[in-house]
Amino acid sequence: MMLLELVRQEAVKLFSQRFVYVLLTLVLLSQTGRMIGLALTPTETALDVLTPPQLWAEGASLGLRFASYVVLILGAMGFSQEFALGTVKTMLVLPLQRWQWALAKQLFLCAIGAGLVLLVVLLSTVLTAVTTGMGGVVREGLELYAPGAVWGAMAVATMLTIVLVLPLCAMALLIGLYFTASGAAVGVAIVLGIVLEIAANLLPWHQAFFLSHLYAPFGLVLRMGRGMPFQWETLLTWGIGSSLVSLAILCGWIIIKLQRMDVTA
Amino acid sequence: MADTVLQVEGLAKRFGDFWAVRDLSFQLQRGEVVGFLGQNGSGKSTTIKMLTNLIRPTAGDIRLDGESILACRGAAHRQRLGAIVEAPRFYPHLSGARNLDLLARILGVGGARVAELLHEVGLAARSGEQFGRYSMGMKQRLGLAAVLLHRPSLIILDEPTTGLDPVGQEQIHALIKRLVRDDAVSVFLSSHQMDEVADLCDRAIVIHQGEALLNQPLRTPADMAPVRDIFNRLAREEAGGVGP
Repeated sequence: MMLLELVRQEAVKLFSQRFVYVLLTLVLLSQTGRMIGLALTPTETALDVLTPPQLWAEGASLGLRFASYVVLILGAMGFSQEFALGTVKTMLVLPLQRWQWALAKQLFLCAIGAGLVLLVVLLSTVLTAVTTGMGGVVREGLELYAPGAVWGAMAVATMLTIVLVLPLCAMALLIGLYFTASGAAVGVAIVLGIVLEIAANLLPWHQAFFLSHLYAPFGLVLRMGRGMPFQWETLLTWGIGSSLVSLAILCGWIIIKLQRMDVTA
Repeated sequence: MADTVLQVEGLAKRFGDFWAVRDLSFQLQRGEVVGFLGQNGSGKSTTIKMLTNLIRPTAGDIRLDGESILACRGAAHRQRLGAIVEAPRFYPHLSGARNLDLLARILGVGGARVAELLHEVGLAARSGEQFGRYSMGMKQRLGLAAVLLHRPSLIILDEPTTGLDPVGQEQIHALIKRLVRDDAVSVFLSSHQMDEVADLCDRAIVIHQGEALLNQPLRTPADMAPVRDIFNRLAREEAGGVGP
């Protein structure tokens, strides 16, 4: 009960701040602009015609990119804002366990991450339906994928992306634990997110790092839209595996860090 | 022993090579008000943070109603404790009432208690305003209301009248006296103000460079004399002046 109450309070605290709505609006407007732009771009050959999965995946990928920054910002602020405001001293003298507070913040941020993925997917679906229609993949009169297969792939990609975004939430929250100023925490989280994503794709063992898989599910739908096969076996093993392991490590790190922390600031 | 609410034994905290608090021991009886005096950097805040479990002592023990609160960072003892550490801190974008309501839900306290306390500290009419727009005095009063939500047996207040005008200070003093008289609440109060300590406290502890220099019962007004002397001497030393 305490945990649920703390999660609810995180929602009250976050959604009473105006900047959250500004961030969400920016994400959705960027995605809308990109998708409408793509849908209205004239094509030269029949092969250039945008298929529904292509448009859907392009929109969802862009939305996810912006949404991942929102996750980094909100996550980094999770603890750093409490330190900056001094409310950590109000909260931690209450009869609640530190791990409960840390877990509540993680659960809430994971819900936000999953919610953002669902939001960009929903917008992508609506805009695809309105512009190209939610049909299958047809090239030169030949149906490569039936609408049902496309819908199934989109659903799988969405679920995989939700799992992949969870360790990003935990990583952002952990960064916030090391800063007493929200601005610094947010800056470091964004820079670290970019650097790690680039590094993840350059390293020979990149498959073991969750960030290298973040955009892969929507990428698979994009490939499907071009008539290529939807192969998600690697994502199921390395992607999900590395994400869940990373999530467990990061969550444990957050709880231990907060548990041992001297609140001096 | 049965009436000892708080017992501190050999408490110490070291940050690197610096000892912020050294071998601090004192007791607080039920219904007693103890003034905790010291200059800036004397170790007052570090002591209060150790008492509230915000920081872990390097050595020593803290017992609340006979139970050590350091064995684990458990939450049960905090049900009996209410504290303002350094200054009342709440979410600035939420109203005073909303801030109090969030804490009340964690403490398992109903909305009626929130309304009662807002009225008691004189904030009922302005409870809908954002905390960030409150004056320092209003913040202090909201902080006091938050501390009292769950009717703790021990309250720890860190300079509770800072920023208050004389009328506001008098209101807070009256509230503390009423709590002690009617509910036998014990109060550990850090302060810079001699008059406040003389008015409210049954005992004064003066801390300097992390060590208790004086632990003085205040039974008569004359008992304040050594407290004033030592505190004024420390103030002069800190200012670098030469005393008479």
